[in-house]
Amino acid sequence: MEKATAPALDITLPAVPGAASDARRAVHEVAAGRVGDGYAVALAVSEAVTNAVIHAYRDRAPDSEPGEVQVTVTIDGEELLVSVADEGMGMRPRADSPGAGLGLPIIATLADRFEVRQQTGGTRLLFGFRLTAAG
Amino acid sequence: MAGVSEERLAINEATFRKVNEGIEAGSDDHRMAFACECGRLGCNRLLELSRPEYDAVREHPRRFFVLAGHELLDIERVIERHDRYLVVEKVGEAGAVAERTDPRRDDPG
Repeated sequence: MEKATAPALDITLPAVPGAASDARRAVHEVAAGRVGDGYAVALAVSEAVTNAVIHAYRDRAPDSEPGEVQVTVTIDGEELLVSVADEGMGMRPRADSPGAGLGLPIIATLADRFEVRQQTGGTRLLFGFRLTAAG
Repeated sequence: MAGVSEERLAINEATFRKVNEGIEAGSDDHRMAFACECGRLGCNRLLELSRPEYDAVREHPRRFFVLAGHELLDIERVIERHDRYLVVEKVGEAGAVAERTDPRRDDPG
């Protein structure tokens, strides 16, 4: 799914609530005009970063340094590919999970391609959007 | 789930199936966390399945896995009971929606 293309955007943000809006704005600047609906890309990124903020580092003490979330956008001849990666505890079942549980369904519905990589030391979401003809 | 149509519930479950297909695509062979595929709006529970367990459910377009107690007997029947999850099979209109939206079909609607 990934290609060796220099990223159009590569930012690392602290996993705090404001990260979602920062990522949304940054990604929208890259996506606008390149895909059919740049706001759909921005919304998907916002949901992915919010997931990382809420879930990835919940095993850490509240007064510890926040973890990080890395947002990367690459563009090749056919698609705009977004990666949102954290270095947290990974996806784990929990009985007390906050939120409505709609983040991943929203991303999967908006994106043309969607993949979750649960790896040692974190989770990585990859989602792709077809480029418009002029992109 | 009064007031929610069979079709709406089936579409909800199909959406979570799409999420889980994305999880499965990025997984290796050990047990992974997947989203409960029940049709309840607001269910955010995860459950762990191995890849063979996941693929066994996905072989059947009308079948989904849910946590015990999350089955919706108006639109589905319980096919298998496991320690960590149930396998349910859609019936009626919900079954038709499940087949139509199966991402492993050549042309999912």
